[in-house]
Amino acid sequence: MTDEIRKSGVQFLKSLGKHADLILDTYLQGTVPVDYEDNQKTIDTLIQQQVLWQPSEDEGLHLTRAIRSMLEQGLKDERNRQLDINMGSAIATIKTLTGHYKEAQSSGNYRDASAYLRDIAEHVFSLIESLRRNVHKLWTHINNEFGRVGSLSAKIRENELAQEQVNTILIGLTMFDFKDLAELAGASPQLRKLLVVNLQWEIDKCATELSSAQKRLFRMLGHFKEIRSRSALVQGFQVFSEAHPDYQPPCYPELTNMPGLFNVIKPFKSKGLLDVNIEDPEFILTQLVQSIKVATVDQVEAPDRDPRAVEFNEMDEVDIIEKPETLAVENFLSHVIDNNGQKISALSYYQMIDFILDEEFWLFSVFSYMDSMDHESNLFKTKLLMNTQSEFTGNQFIEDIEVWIS
Amino acid sequence: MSHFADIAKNLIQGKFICEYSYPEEYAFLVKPGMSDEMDGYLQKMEFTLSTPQQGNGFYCSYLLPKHNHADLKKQFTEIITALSPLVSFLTLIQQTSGDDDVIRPGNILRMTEIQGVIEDTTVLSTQLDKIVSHSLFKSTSPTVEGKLKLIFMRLIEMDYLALSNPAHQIYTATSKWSLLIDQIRFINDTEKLSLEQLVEDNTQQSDLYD
Repeated sequence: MTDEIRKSGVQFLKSLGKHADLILDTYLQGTVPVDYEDNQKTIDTLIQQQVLWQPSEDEGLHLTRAIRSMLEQGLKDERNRQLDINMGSAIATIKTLTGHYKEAQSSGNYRDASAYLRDIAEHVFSLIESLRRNVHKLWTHINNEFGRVGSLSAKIRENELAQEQVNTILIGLTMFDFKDLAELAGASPQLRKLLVVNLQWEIDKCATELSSAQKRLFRMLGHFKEIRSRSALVQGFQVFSEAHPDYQPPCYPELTNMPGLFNVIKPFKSKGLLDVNIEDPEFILTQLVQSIKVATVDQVEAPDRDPRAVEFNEMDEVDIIEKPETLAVENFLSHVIDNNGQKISALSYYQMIDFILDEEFWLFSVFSYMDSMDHESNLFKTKLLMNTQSEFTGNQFIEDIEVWIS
Repeated sequence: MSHFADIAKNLIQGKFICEYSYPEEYAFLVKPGMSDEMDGYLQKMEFTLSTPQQGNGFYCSYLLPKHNHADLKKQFTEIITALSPLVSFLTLIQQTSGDDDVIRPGNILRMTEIQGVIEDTTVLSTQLDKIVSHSLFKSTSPTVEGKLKLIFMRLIEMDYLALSNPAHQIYTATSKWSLLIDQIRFINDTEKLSLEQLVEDNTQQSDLYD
């Protein structure tokens, strides 16, 4: 990188040396002399290298401020007047030079007059250049949102500084009273062109640009501050809840004027069924499928049983009725029939009979027995008495089962 | 079934509809006059259509909060219980990205990137462990990936995230975060918690130790 800069630096300086005549003549005359106008290629290179610039289409080519001040310093030129964004001093200089010019003009000293005019032009264009440069710099900062500094607070400070600078320039620009400038220019067409046309147009443009930059800066500052406040709010809550893990704000729904923010309905949950056709929860489903695989692996890892011959004649003797819970359910159903098919709850029957079965297991047995029966020809009707589980929404407990004959 | 009825059903089921969570439904609701029509329809069932103070989106509220006291209290408890783990998630993501800003609607979250940063940073994986110890995101998975997947899955269920690219595990933050921020700001302002000041004090304190 340094090598590259060095290389192009040397090239730049060599180019200045090579075109020393053109540059010096321009310095002395204010614009590129007519003699060089055929040398368009050189001029283009110098424009590209920001040695020359053209304030406007109908103006000649001038030296840029940097080159000019370099020469002014190098030559210890008396005309070396530091120009900054201080509008007051710029106006004062232009006014003074205009005084000189008018005096020389009226006393017939045309050589001096023309030199003063060049000086005035130089100052006007330098002022324009520096204003343009400032505006450009400002927009660069705005457009990359003060990217050169990292933290949000630094961006906020940079923004505030930029706003201050814009304000200073804008206040400075209001110091240009164009009525005054018009009076100052008087009848001289050259002065009118410089002070009224060029300067006024440029300053108007600059002021418009600056006020839109100011608006942007203001909006950006608002945005930065909003980010900071939002982030501080979230981080503050984190710090706070770590310090007060059991913190509970008062129950806002109990207030007479309940805040709308917390008016969120309790969801009406429909049946929890998986729609395998939706691709979105693919990975969730994949996870579920994977966990099923794990379960199968566990079963495979169960100790192998010794192989034994299957005797088919034993099949007839296998009878589900032998299960005590099945018997109990059937007894329960007989009890319903004995009671003329009236509605009887499974739990009340459970309490009547001295069971060895667990209550929950009993309910499950009734449920699975009824569920396994052929629904079409089923004589019995059942109703599940459900209760919503409090901890997880959407889950329900079967508390009891009622059975009757319709 | 009509699109209108589908959307009404989604709202009654507590869904949060925004351009990121349910783009089609959102586009339908922002058509001229459509949200008013939906609101009118919901009002017949004593509900109403609400939007967050900042940001866009729709959710369902009770038209007559006083008549739904019990349900609102229950919802309120749920909201308050979820605040702390959700905020921990927000700060975790902020720390992994190194951003000044906390998640905003429309922000893209790449799970593999987040996972990589957390795996490389002990402080962050400790914070993740804290998050999954909360009942909202309870996970027993030993890996960062497993824990994150569970959190992201829950956040999709709660409409805070939308899965925008399943193959690359890319998610989009929805506008429901705006509602959450609104709620925190409300608590902060009403209870005078001075949360923003708390961060400043904390930074100053840690500056002293540096």
